[in-house]
Amino acid sequence: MASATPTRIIAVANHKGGCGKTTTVVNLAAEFGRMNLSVLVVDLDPQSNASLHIGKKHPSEVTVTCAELLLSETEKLPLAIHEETHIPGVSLMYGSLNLGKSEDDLKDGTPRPSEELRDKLSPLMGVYDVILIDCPPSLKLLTSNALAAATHLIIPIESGSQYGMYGVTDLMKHVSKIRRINPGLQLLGALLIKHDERQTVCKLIEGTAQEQIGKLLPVRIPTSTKVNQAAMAQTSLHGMDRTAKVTREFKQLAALLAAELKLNGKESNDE
Amino acid sequence: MSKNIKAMLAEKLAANTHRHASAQQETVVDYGRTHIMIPVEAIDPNPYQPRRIFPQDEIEALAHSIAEAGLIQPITVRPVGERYQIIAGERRWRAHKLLGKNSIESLVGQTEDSDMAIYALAENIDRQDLSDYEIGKALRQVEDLFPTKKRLAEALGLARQDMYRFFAFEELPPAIRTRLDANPRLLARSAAEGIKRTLGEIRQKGVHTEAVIDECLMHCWQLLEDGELDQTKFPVHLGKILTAREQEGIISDRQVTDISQAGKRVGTIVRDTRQFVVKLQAGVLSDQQEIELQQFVQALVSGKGKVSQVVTH
Repeated sequence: MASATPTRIIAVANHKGGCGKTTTVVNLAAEFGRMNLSVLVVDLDPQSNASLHIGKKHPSEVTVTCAELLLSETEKLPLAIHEETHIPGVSLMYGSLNLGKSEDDLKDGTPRPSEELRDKLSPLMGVYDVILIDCPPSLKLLTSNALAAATHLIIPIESGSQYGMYGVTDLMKHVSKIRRINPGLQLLGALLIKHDERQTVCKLIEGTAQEQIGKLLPVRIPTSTKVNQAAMAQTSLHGMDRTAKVTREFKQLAALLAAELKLNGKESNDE
Repeated sequence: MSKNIKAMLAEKLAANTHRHASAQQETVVDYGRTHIMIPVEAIDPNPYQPRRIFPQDEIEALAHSIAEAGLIQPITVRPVGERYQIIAGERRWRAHKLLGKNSIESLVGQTEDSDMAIYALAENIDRQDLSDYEIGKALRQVEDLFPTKKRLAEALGLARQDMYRFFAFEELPPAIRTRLDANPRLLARSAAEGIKRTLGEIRQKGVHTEAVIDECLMHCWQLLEDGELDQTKFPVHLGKILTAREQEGIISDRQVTDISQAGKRVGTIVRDTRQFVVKLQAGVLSDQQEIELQQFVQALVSGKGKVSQVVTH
């Protein structure tokens, strides 16, 4: 499983809530896992929806979550990784309500508050093929930590939403600030979610996103009730309905990213 | 959507919601406490722990259950320098050591010295697995932290009268307390209080010497240790044999002579209608002297004479 290619760390960030960060993280992880890549999901969101979705434990039952890891020494890293999740091939570092407190403590207690996560994850380089970081809906320290640790960035955007567009300028400014401490951070692109090509608003946002962010991922994620069903059933879209359009789009996105990032996954057969 | 999926989703939603609702509360309660794995070697017991004895078989049983089912509740510790001190969970920690585990799930909190004693005591009183004798000792340790005994009783959730029973152990003679140190569960607080009362009554009458009282007390204690006397009947039995002694003393011409060594009583010679008893504490005579004494007594009893030779030898 440990491949020759270096570990890719993909941050999925946007401070707009409900734009599909967690959905993207969970389903990309699941598809990468199905490609026999070794995958780790890092849940930096105090709401811990990714953990509640794929984790076998409730975050409150977990000894070492991202909250404890961020404020501790690196020795806790092995305790923070949970290899058993609801998604095959996907490991998890749990989120926790305490992440809110960790954010405050980071600010006061560490010399480089934005670089703690990068530090804590460094022993995992070469161990996992892909690490996906789910960010909280804010541009504060937790998101900064994700961006500083990441090699790549995906910005999910709710298609057709004016509100979603407003924040993008601020986000891009923040990303360029973070590049001062992480110059290698590459933008994979904006990912349009809840997209409906028949709607004018969606077409308009598509154009503006291209303009503002500069790069759009070629896949469009449609609105689908399967997304909510999968979250409720604690499975991936593939586990919920492998033939749905939304599932196929995520599969295509994973294949595309794997090619772009030169991930050595074996093509899985659709059993 | 098929009916099956609908039912499955409904069930899942209910389970997820319940799981989250019941978990959320704990997160808030434990806020400010760190929940981590701590190396077993970095943990020390609570210096205020009143429990004196950790029976090996109990620790083994606990270790067995932890090996099977895992640790159900993390232990609670406080940081002291580089290390941690147990606030609650010494038995679980000992079981982990027995299992050879490297680390133990712990909640880390900040606790004052005074509270350490109260926690350890309160936890043990609640669980009812600390002996009354140990609680009595522990109460003395912490009583100074409270303005009055009444407040101490309140803090521990004890009735005041009941709390005084725990203090009755202190009134027992040192010999009994030494035996209790080794076997604290033999006597409960109500029995201790009963003995204390009986001793008070006997002393008031003033017919017996302390030596006789001690002797009768130790006689009863031996019966208790041998399982021949129930602790609830201890005070009554003690009263009975002391009364019997009193009457016996009147009828028979019982004579007691102390044997002293350098001004200290090391034994007695007791003579009554039935027996002639010479009692010496161990170590008063050398081994050689003991053999000589035996030979002397033997010679005396068998009537072989030449007694003077043995004695002057």
